[in-house]
Amino acid sequence: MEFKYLIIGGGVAGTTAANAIRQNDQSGSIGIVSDEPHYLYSRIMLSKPNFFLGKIPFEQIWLKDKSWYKNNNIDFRGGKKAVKLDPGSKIIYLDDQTEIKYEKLLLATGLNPRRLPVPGADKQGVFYLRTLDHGKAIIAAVASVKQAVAIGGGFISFEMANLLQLSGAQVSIIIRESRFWEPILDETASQIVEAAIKKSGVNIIPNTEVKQVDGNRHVAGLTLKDGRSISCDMIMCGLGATCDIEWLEESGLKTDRAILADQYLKTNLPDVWSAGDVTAFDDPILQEVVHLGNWVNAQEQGRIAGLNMVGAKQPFTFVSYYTTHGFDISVTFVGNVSPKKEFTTIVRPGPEGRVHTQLLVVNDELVGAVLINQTQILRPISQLIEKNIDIADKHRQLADPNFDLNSLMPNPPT
Amino acid sequence: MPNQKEYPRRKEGSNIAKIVVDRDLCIGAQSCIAPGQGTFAIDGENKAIVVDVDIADDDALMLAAQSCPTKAILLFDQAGQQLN
Repeated sequence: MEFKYLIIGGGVAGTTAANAIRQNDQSGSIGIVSDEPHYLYSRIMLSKPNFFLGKIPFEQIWLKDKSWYKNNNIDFRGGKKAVKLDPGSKIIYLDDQTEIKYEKLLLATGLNPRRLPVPGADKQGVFYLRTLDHGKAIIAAVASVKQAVAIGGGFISFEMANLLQLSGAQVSIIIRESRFWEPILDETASQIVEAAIKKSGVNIIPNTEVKQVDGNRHVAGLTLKDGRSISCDMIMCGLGATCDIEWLEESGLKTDRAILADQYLKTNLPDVWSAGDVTAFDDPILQEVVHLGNWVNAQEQGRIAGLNMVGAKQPFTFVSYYTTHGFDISVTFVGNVSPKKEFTTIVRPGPEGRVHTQLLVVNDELVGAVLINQTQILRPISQLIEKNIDIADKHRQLADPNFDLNSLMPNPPT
Repeated sequence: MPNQKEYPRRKEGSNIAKIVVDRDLCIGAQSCIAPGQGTFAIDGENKAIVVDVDIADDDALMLAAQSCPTKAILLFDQAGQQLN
């Protein structure tokens, strides 16, 4: 088997890349290998309460159907896993012994949830969220859950605790840190988020970790390292995610917990690109290696990688962002919210207890932001980051919530 | 009845005559903001709204609509045919 363009990963990065390739090369053969059997669906919906609670019809999750792959002449091979890359002979080996030769290869395999590393974690009722099948299993379980525990202080925990609580369960969140979303959120931001969570009746248990999961075949509770025990019939793990790159170890591909790519999303191997959550890229804006995991980032990286695979030379300069809504508040991360370089934070305060903005500054330029209930400033903030605007003498304005950020733009809208 | 907001478009040379945002489907993920090049913003209910219906060209609007993870943005031509 042979494709001109072979894409490993059928999520939004891989599929968007296939689309960009097809728009620029009508005849080159394209193959997508996905470890999931499904056509492209909206992974972002898997943790949205409106979807879980049936307010958004299930069918809405499908973003591409069979006819799209057929009309675009894209060969979709679902339920297959790539197990080896031979960059010399340009061959990908699949877990069913198939060998696929490629001219140009894109790796877009995404992230895997980190497993709960304690005894009893294999019991029924312990859930992770990555795939549509995970989502379906959770939808089925949520219907009868009475007491649930979410582990971890991040997006998954935040969104899943919200939907578990909305579906009527009594919910606790266990976090290792002293406050929610530490250290990305500052204390004020954490306080707003925690107040909103607690107001809904969800209990937050900080400064502790799970020692073991209790129960027979099914979860009945868990024991914490501080000795406390909590009874529950469902555990939702949001412990972060890792890239599945072990299968690439022998290939000579440069990795550092993620696949390393340059600003064109090209890896160190000939004719091999990388896109989406599995990719850490040289960010020309920040001038450091950046690894992000979110929907718009994956989508835009897929598009840029696809264009570069058909011969363009476009750097990836998109400022990505992710917004979550839950517990009646919104939390948005823009750009890079955990730069490796030394950074300072400008706080743009809001009405107390409700609105808060953290602006992250490296070398007099904005590189990222955390917005609490501030979605309306996403666009000017993104542009300030993208356009590398020198803000050395603008700290006072940035910290003033009444100052119009649009006026800092080179060509402010009229 | 679907909670849809319609925005008629009058941009010269454009094949897109109407932008529709389905407010029930919109989850405020904001993926339309960047590709929409100023077309969309998020309102106080965390739903996408059109703030400048004629600012972007058709390609940008198609990209913005395709970027939506809940397919909440619908584009129609003069004849009322859905384009995305």
